[in-house]
Amino acid sequence: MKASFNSHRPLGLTASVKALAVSALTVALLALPAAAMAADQVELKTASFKDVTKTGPDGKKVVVREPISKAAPGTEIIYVITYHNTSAGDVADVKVQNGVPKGLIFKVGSAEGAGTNIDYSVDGGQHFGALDTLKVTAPDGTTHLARGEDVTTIRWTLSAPLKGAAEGSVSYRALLP
Amino acid sequence: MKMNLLRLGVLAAMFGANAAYAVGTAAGTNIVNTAQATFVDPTGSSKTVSSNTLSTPVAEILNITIVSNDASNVTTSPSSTAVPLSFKVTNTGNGSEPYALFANNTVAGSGFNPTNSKIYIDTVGNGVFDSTKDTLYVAGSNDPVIAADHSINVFVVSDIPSTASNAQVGLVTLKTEAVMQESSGSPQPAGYVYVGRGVGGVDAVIGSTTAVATAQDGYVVASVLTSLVKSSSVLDPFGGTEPVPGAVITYTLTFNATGAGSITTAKITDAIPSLTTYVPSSLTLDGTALTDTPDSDAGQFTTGNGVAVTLGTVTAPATHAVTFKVKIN
Repeated sequence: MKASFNSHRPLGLTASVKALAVSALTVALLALPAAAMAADQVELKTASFKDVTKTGPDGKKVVVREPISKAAPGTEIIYVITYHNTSAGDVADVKVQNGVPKGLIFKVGSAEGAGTNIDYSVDGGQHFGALDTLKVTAPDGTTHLARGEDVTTIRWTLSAPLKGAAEGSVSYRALLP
Repeated sequence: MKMNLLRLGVLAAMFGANAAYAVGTAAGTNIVNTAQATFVDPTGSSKTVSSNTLSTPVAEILNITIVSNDASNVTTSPSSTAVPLSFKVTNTGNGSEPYALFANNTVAGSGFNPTNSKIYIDTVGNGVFDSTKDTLYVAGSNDPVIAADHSINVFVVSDIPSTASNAQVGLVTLKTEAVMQESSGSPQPAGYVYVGRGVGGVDAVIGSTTAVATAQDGYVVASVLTSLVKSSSVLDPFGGTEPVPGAVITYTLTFNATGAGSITTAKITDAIPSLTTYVPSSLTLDGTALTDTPDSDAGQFTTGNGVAVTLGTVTAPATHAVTFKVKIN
């Protein structure tokens, strides 16, 4: 009897094939930084969180930031990127860059980073600028000022050299639609 | 005005963007993120480093809606069998999911209870019930798997009791529930997580609809009640009303259809009383003369059988009067 619903099967298959492809990619990507990081002075870590509203013992609602390893649609994912100078010497011109993950929508105004200048790209990191200076051309030929869903890349430029053993972090939020 | 128009444009664009994510990112999608940093080390050389890669699988959200496809109660008649009601079940979640179906034909407030209700899946997919091609639903055996953002049509097919009377309404509800919820004994509330039970092993999260939905539809009975009343008047050869030989009796047969709906192949016949003779060409229907010969008009007279008038399809409410004359021998 299940055979009558065969039309759904190809979807399932496609999904698992995609999942396989993604995990293969993940393994490849993980292998690279592990080898590279040992020799470099700056170590970069990315972590994801979400805000969860909880009711405390006093009945008051508190927002707790919890690490996540999975997410349901509607979740606002908070990405925190930590940079750490693992050497004793200073490093200069530090720029941290993160492509907004495919499928997520950047939350305008959510990018933070103490001691950094933040700019954005809407073309995959080829050009950067303040968000209100970036324009996007829609498929129908019209142009509009960049919106959250147009942002492809966020860049934090440290305003001062990173001292030896110093560390800091930057963050932003993106919606999983 | 220009401002307003501009704002409208922006709104339309926003809704357009939302529409693409009507059911959310597909369950099982991996959200992958790696950050990079560039810097100049103390020796003056530029370097690039990458962070660890985060891979965040998207959970499945279970949501379902159901609506009746029938604009109003489906018109039927007493003793009808296998009368379909049509429903549309839509998976508004983000993953393919099997759903169970339950029909209820004893709904509170119903004028009569439809019987022998069965559920069919519109396998043909044309929205029209076909008992030979559509699939009879058997709970737990062929629960339909509905893809994200897809709909299926479901028919609830019932018999109408002979006792159902004109204008009575018989209600039916169709409930659908995610098999995951149904098989858990007690359905879980919105926000509950079935760990690892979503598409491809991701978590399954109960959505705002709680993956349960119910819709109501109904039958309305259109039945026709018929009556036939015969009356007569006498005109004697002297202008009086005495039934003497030579007097002419005019018979009037009044056919009345009340209620709602149609009856077919209606026909009125009457024999000529003994000791009387049919007056040729005296047959009328609703005041219009009919010929005695069997031809294109509705009436005919044949010796031995009397008069016959074919009404054919009659849609209630309707009244028809047939008259004919006989002479007393």
